[in-house]
Amino acid sequence: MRPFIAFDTATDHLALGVGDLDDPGRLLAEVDRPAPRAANTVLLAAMDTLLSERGIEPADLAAVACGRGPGSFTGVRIGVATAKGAAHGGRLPLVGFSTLDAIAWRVWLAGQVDPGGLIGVIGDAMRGEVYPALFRVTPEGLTRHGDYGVTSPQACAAAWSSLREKVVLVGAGLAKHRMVFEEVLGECAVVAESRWWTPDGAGLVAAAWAATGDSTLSSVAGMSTAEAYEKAHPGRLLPIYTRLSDAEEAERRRERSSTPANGVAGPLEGGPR
Amino acid sequence: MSVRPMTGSDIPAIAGIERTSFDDPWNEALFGDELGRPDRSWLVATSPDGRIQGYGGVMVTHGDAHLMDLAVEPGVRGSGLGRRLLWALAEGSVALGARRMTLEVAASNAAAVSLYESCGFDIRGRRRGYYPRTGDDALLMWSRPLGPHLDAMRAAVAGDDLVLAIESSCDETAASVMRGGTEQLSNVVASQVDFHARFGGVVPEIASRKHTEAIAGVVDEALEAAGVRLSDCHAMAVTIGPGLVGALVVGVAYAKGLAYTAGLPLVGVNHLEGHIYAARLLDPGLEPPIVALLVSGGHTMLVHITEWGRYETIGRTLDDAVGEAFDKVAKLLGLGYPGGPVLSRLAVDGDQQAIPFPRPMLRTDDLNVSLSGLKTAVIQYVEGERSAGRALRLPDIAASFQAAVTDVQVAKTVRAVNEHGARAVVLAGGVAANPFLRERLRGALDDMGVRLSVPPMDLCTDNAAMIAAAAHDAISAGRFLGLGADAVPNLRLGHAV
Repeated sequence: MRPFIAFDTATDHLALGVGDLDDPGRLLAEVDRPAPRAANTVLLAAMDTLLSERGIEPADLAAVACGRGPGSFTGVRIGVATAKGAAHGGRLPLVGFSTLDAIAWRVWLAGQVDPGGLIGVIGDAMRGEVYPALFRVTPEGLTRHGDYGVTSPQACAAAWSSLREKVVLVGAGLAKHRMVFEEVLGECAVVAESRWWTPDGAGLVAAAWAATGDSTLSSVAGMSTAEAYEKAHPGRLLPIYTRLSDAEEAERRRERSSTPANGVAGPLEGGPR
Repeated sequence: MSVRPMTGSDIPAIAGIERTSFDDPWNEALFGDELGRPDRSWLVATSPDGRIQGYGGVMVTHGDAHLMDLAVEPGVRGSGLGRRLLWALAEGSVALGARRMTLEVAASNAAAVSLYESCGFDIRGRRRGYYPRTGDDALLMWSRPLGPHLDAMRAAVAGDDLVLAIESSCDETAASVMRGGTEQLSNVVASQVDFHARFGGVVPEIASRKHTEAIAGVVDEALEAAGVRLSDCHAMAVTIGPGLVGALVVGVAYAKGLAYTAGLPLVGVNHLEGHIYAARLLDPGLEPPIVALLVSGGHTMLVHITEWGRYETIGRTLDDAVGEAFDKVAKLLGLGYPGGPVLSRLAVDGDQQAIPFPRPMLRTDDLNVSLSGLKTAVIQYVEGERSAGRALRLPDIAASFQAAVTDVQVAKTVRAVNEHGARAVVLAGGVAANPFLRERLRGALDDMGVRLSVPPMDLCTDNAAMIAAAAHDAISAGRFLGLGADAVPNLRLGHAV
């Protein structure tokens, strides 16, 4: 057994899961609870409690996985910065996954949607906007449609209604915008119970295994920890913001230039001109 | 103060302190039952004349030390005696096979909760109505692993502690490795100034993003430059405030994650105290009483240092910080950001008496300063010249503005020295890099026979070496952070971290 920790602090809900690098189907431990604006004070203590209850020492960890958002900018950074530190301190590989994917995986694992169906995750982006992500359910897992972004609930609902299919809706954005989706989608809107709107440990572990990209859990699972650390070095992980800072947005509006499609802040984004 | 094992003859004195300390005190018989048990360690702290001032006891089971009792007599509380006793008990617990310590404390006992938190304990639970006599809740607290904390304290007392420090309070991501609080093995700073320059000042959201991107690489570089591995370090330190909340949070979250998996103790450092310690790095002979002039983009204050670790803010700006005023004037003149260095360079070729800018509060009967009136005077002068169609003489404006700022800072510092009988002055903070201010202050203090201590240029601006230096004393004293620690953006100098 090679335990890894997965956690997410991008929403007002703290979630942690412990998986096994030797067995993608295994969940060793999980916990989730509301923690509005408290992630930095509760995350590590919750992690320590979860691990010690299972007799796992920090030195036993083989990898760290963390939610990259999109979500609250500060919340995402607390998770990503803690993950970078934890991976760095243990010389462990660090992999990321989207918070929205983790919520969809929670729904998938619970068998809430039949194969062929759609899951629409609506993250709360504040300012009257949402972070949407649409997933097609397959017997093996989930296929995400499109990239992460930020938009108005009306635009998101209109786009999803054009599919003329039932969509199982989850996510914290429903607390504010449920009516918009119900109005626009009509009978195609199937709002799940609110307990499915937040990430949980099992969903995080599943999302970590399913994540694609350069350095994924699947790609490092077969390596030694030292090799995996070089492959998925903690310095490389970046949050998914989907928005630039207000100052940069204002500057782009002035310059009439467009935001990069993926909105991911990279090392060159916002640099000197 | 010395610490020794408890004996039967100590019990009457201990029971007396117990009765003054708790609503539900132990009686003498209970203390008597504890003596001689193999899984217990009871210690007393005594004054030089042998009087008992505090005591505590632990029970060790299954690798955990349970703190059963800890009390300090009322007259000596707050003197650090409780902390020393706690760590002495931790040492005894480790000898009995304990890895961690746990305790219950009344939720209303704020002083005790604060003591345990400052030793790195975390609240892990609450037992409602646990104390039947008072109905008070008990907080369940756990320490981090004791061994590494004791090792770090021993190394710090011996002057051989290796500390990795992180600083991220504003727009510099910095890391440093230091031995013994004075030997700088590396000091790496990744400045974000280019990312903020085009916005005319630090954009907090950009700062937070850049810290997140850079922090792991900066730490790797600091370790590599120092020629040490993380496993060689005894402890970590991080700035917890004051500063930009989003920026601080990145450093604190990262440092806590790193300390957790690396099994290292973590120390929280006040950024302003770090600036004071930067002067000590260059000038180890520096001793209180000292007046410190802290001048930066975010702070402008005069501090009286009565002893290391004890600070009293005796003067402050009522509006803008000095660095902020430089930035605003530079922006007004279209000189870009940051304003300090560019105005300072221009001033070299200017006439400081060309424009009679005001010296606000120069003669007030206190140690406070104000810069907004001076800034307004510069704006009015510039607008007047522009509307008259005259070309701006930038070097003269820069020199006259800089002289007006400096005159007030120097005058207030001299006044503070006289009022408080200080033997030395520390000039610290980013603006301490201003050559004109350094020269003027040195001239004024030389005339008074007062020593001026100014950090080297690279330690004036934000850096992590100063954080590592400040951490050394905290480690010696056993002041640590727990896993629940958070950034404190408005942290005041002299307030407990």
